[in-house]
Amino acid sequence: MATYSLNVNKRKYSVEMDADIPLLWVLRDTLKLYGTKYGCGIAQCGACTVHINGLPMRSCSIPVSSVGDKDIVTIEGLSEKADHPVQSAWEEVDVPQCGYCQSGQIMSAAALLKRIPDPTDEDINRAMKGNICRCGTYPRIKKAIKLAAKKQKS
Amino acid sequence: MISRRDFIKVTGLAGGGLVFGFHLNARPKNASVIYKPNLFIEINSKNIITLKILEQEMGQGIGTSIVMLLAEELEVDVAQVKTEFLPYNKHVPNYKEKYGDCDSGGSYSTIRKWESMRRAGAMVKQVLINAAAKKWNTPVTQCYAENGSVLNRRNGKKFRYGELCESALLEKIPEDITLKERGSFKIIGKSMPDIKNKFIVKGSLKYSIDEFIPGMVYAAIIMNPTKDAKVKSFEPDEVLKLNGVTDVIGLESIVKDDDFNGSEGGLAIIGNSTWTVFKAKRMLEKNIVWDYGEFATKSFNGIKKLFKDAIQGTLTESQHWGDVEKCFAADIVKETAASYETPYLAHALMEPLNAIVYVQDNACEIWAGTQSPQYTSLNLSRILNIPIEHFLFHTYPSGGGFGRRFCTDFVTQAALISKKIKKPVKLTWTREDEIQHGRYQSLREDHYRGGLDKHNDFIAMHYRGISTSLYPPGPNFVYHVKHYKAEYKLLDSIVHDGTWRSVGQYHTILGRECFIDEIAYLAGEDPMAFRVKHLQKEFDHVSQSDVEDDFVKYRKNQITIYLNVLNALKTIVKWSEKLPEGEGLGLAISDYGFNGEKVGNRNSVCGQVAHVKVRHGVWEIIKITAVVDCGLVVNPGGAVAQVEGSIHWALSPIIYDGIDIEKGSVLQSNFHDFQVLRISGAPETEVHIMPSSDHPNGLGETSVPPVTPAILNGIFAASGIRVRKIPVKELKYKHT
Repeated sequence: MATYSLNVNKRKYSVEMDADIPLLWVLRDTLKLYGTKYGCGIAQCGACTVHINGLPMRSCSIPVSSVGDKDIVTIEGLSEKADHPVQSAWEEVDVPQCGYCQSGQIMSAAALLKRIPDPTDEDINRAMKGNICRCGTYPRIKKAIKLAAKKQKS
Repeated sequence: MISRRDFIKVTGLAGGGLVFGFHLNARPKNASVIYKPNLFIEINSKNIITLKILEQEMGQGIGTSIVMLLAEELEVDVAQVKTEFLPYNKHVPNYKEKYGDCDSGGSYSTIRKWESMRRAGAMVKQVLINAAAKKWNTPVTQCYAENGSVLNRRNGKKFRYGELCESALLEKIPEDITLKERGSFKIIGKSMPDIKNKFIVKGSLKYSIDEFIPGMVYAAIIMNPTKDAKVKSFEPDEVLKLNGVTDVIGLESIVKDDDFNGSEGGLAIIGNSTWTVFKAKRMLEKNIVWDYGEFATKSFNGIKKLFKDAIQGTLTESQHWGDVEKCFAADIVKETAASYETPYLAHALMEPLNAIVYVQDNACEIWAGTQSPQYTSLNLSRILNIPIEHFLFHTYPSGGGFGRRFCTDFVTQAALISKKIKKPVKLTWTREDEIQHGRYQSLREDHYRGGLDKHNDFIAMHYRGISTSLYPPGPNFVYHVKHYKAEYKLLDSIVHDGTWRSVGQYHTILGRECFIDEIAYLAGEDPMAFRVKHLQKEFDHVSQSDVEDDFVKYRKNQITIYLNVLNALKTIVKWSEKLPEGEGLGLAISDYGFNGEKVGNRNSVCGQVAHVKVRHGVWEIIKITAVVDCGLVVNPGGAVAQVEGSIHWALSPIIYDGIDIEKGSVLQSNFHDFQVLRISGAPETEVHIMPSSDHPNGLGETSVPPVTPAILNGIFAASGIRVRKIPVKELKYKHT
């Protein structure tokens, strides 16, 4: 066990953990930030996507010991009033069905729009293919990302 | 079906209940009064309306539809209604007969709630109007409800519903109420974004995997690797040394005839966090000696060989008319035969299976997202020998259901663990557990033989099906054929079979819709025109029946819907236009639903056309167009989402391998080797909902079965290659 200091959603947390525990489980079981989901545990489905220093990362496969003092943003910290352009677009397009994968989808989409403000279909496919949705919301995800890009511009 | 005032009357609080948090006389000025005519609806004096939902939400949007039904008649804005999920407890079985189960499956929830929710809304509205009329000392006819208030026509005054709570308690529930005419709906029939969205986009929608109960411990499970394996010995010392691991216990299997009720045993690891028990599970898996049992000799190839042997033998007849054998021998001049094969399929729902259960001396409390709180409680009541009255089941939205969450083996396991260690236990399955211990879509091979007579008429068809599931024994063959025989054989499954979105209709429609295309080709006719001709013939044939009973009415109605859907599709996709070389259109149509005769003599129908391109050994989907008739649609936006979702659901097994089995165990373990559709493989879809004022039918599953045959027929139209087994191996799928 060792003590780790984490920056999550602009707050500092001190946790005592085994070095190998993935960030996902620290967020969920220790910090009770349940918005980040467990889906596969091997970085194949994207349900656990968070931003680490602005980049989308699969928190199920990142040991807490490797995070250091980097900035971690989870779905709970993406915006103060759930009004990030991606979140607004997701509501407007009525994207979610069961909703379980959507935290991860939204975090991946937000990171994409930061890097490429006006993504093509190919950019969207490349950035989002790590996020599985079993309800089949893919057409609406594509539509919502394009709407979010417009919202972000204005 | 709930009629008239029963919905409100048959409750613990008939005629209205008054609920205060403290003694009446001591009520402070600002306390909230609650008008609670039944278990489902509450209106408080702060003007908050709460609807407690009995149905299980798993992404099908039923919560939104139910609120819309209530709000329409209650004359309130959907946004004014707060929703909660009603726990299943001793009060709920009383509703079973009157209100149907609180379990959600078979695409039945909207059908069940269509009448009852609107009636509930209308009755509560009438009570509030009556209460207001008395307060104003005005005739009831001078009062009306609008936008969450009762208004007085005479003086323009109004009461918000919340202000009428206390007076409403003195009112009788009205005997007769009139529901709105369909033409005056303000909410029903207009797209409404899902009410869960605002929570989902900020990550705050709570699934049971996100629940935390004080005092609970965490558990992971190592399940027996085959259907009859047992733990011979295991070495727990290493994992018990891990930080936070407290116990390793043996878990018995619950063996039932029906896969719905059983659960797999093995070893359970108990600890202080999910990760701790997952880590321990991985270590312990290497330190178990198994008795693999007889099922260790079974494999996927082995059972496929049994299928091949079975088709050579004698089958059981399920249906026949005319004389197929004689017809083939005497009258058929041209014939064709084809076999269609589908694999075992896992659900791979996004939220891994999980449950919190606390079993005490003579009581059981459950916190879990399932499709079947009622069925699960009744089953567990028998397993644990605890009376059903002592069950309390807190329900949650599920991260996907698709039939998997109807079978609740994971809840049984958590209960057995809790019973042993006498604490609330949160059991979380890993993704590997979910892929390897599914309640899989059953295995099936459908063999068809059909023939044309000297006039080139399709007059004989012989169906022979082998499956690990009896449901259904054969296809619902809607196309007219003079001589027909269907036979089946049931083989024991080597894994646990279950319900997979659209269940048996999934594979039987595949065979039916591919084979009718093959027969049309044999006859040299257009697959669309050929279907229409034989549906029309069947309609004429049924119409000649002497009695016009429910079945005849249903069959005629259903065929008419088929024809309307085909007609719409034909125009929308420009069926007759010539396409470039290497492209083709594939057609398929299906119905889905139970008890069609009982709900407006109809079931939902979905027709689809797949525009497919095949070039240089690669196939791609240019577009899938779907036309659906599911009766009156409550929430069109949600309905379209269900069709889009169904199309994507059915695509994965066309592109990727199903479940493979060796030595009685499933070979795949996670998304790297059990692949599912990703955004880069998702095609363009176009969905049309037919306008209808018929009784609403279900839509969660209807659009799954036509996808595969439409695509396989499309591949043939584009390339001349007949694919009869999925996944498609003859060609490579093009991801964008």
